[in-house]
Amino acid sequence: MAFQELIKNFDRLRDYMRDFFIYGYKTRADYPGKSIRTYDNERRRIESYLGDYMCFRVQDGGRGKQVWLSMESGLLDRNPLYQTYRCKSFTDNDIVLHFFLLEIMSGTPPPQKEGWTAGELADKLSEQYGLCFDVQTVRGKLREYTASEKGLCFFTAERHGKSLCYRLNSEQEGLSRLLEKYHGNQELEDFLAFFSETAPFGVVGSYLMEREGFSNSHIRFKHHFLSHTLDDNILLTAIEVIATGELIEITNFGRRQKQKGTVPQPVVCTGVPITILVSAQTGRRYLVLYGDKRKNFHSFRLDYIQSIKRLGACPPELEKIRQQGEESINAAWGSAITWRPKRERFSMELFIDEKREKYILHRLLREGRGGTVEQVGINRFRYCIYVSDSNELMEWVKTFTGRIFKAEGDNSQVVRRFYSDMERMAKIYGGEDG
Amino acid sequence: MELFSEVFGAYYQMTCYLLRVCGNPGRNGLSREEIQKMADRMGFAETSIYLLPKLLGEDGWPFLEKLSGTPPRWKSRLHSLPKRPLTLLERRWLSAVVSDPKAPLFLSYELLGRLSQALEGIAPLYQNKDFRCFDQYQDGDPYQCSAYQKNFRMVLSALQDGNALEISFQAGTHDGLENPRIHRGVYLPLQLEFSEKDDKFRVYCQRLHHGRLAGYATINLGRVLMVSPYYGKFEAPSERLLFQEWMKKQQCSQPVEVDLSPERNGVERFLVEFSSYKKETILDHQTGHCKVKIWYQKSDETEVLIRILGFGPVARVLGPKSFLQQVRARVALQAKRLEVTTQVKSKAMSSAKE
Repeated sequence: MAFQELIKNFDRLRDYMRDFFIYGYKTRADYPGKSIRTYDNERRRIESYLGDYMCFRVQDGGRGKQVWLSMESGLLDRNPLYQTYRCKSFTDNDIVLHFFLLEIMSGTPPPQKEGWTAGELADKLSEQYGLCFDVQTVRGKLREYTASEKGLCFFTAERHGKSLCYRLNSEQEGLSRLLEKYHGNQELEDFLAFFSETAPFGVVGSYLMEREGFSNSHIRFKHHFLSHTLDDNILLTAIEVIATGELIEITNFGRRQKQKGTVPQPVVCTGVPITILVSAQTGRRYLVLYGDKRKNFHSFRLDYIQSIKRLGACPPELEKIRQQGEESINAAWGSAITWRPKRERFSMELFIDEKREKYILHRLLREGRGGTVEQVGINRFRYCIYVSDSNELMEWVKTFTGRIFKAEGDNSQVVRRFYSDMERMAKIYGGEDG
Repeated sequence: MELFSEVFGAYYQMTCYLLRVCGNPGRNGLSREEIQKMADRMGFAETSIYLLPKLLGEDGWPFLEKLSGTPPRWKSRLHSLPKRPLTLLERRWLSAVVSDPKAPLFLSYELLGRLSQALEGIAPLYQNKDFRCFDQYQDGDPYQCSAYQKNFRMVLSALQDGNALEISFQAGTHDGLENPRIHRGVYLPLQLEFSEKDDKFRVYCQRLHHGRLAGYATINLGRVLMVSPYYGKFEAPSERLLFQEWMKKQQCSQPVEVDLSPERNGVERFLVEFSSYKKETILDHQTGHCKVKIWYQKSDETEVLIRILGFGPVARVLGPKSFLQQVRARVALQAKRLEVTTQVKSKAMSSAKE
């Protein structure tokens, strides 16, 4: 089959996009489960969508061409990865019916007050534009544009005798008129520009920006994780099921399943979704799930989840699970959530010049997630916190390298590892060529 | 709900735009070259190859009518200019964002009220309570404070209209002063910047002295004490271009180069965390080690440094020299502090024994 620029399923792109953008070191040889042709087609598609950001290098040792996407998010006016949402394939009938049906429905009064039947619309298409469509095809498109599951709802349907009558959805008209009235309004443009980058499902904001002909000339975004958008389809399902509290089945490709050089095998887990955890610093997002088999909480990284299947049936103890989830989240430093967590103490003493380095004290308070700070000597301060897994905060602790007098805690393994890390660091950087 | 729909796709958008241009009564259709240019500009790299035969070919889509004349031109067969109605997905997303605490920063109460009214009864696509950000800094800007909102809107409006402002703001605490200095001056806002991690807005400004460019400044909106319009005259010659130049100069001259060990999933963790930076990677397939070069803004050097240190021995800085020296200095200081602590501890233990 000849190469096509458009694709039917977004998931086909998701993994490649992530590999090219986050890792950037892979070549065709690093995709053992895919055929050469599949890899070449996906790479060519991504190059077609994001050619301005694509870089290549031939790797040593005959491993082939390394491909990556190079972007500095702080300098961009919009997320280039949104482009990948604009490549859904369609049939000739889809696009033809889209424009002609919308023109008829918005410009011609219907034969009866309830609207147009599919048959009447098929006749109108033939009479007004000379287009021949069978009623079944027209009805299919009308249903698609009426159903709320698709999220379009261009039309509404009302029963008239035995037939369904369709008309343009009047619910959107007020908002449509308002946007038209404020067309070119700078505050609306900046509002959409801001939220289409920072709000969840920002790609929807970008659709609105495109519809209104808006661009972003005033705002830039620092510490902005562009690849989040690749997981938005999974996130949307997750948000829907969190609201209903129903059971779900997750197919997950964690890093253990993605061992180098092998075809990854997924792990399937069922449970009740609790919330979405977001890390603004590390760029990771998680779905917290109460696993109904192990009776414990698990955090699944959204970028590792391949699919979410809804199983229905909300468990009777949902409120209790949610409440327990809340307590467990509050007890955690990050994403390691456990059922009935035991809090362990961790503390460290730091050198802070109390006159000249107030900003370090501010840093402790600002980034310390509720830990306490007390002065224990001249230019010596103690930070202390109780969390369910003190291993999680060690990355943050090590950002204070150069200031730490001592670290203590209930989890002796974590404390030992900290001292061992500091020794290793001293060895690494101690030598002249370190 | 489906985010991935052809209705929002590049081909539909382009067809819609084309039909609007070709259907414009004041215009006698479009030539093939003009249509091709449009497809090249608005589509993907290979779009015109697929789209042109569909739009202009004999068996293509019946949207355009060929007009007689040489060279041939095409006109829309639609009787009106198409505009896609708003989808339910878009309305639900708007319904969610209008209730965001940051919405009043951008929209006047009047427009926000009208939008909320037009969205009445539309269930928001998500609720802020569905998301828990666990590591956002706790001293974020006070978005709901009326004084902050007023200052923000004045800055935004000056940015939109190209006006200068008199701004007084509190400097940061980096200079170690007990009471931070208050700066006052005339500034021309050029760009807003938002960081989700810091939960703060900053504004990049051109500083004006006697109406002339006197350098650039970055002001945290949360530290602004007072903003008022500046009525004096000032030179505003292509300041945006100058600003872009200035921004480029803020880029580090040499990227920091780091060797990542696969230990503790270091490669993956590091690359995700630094994915907002421009970077280049090389993986050693034998050892699993990854060499990564990161480009950053000079003003962010300390932040990049401490974040790399956070990875401990998993991320080893290789260069440049100036960056490596800073890492070495911190690690050496760290070793010294721990050594002192150990000495004090053992002295205390031996005196206790005695």
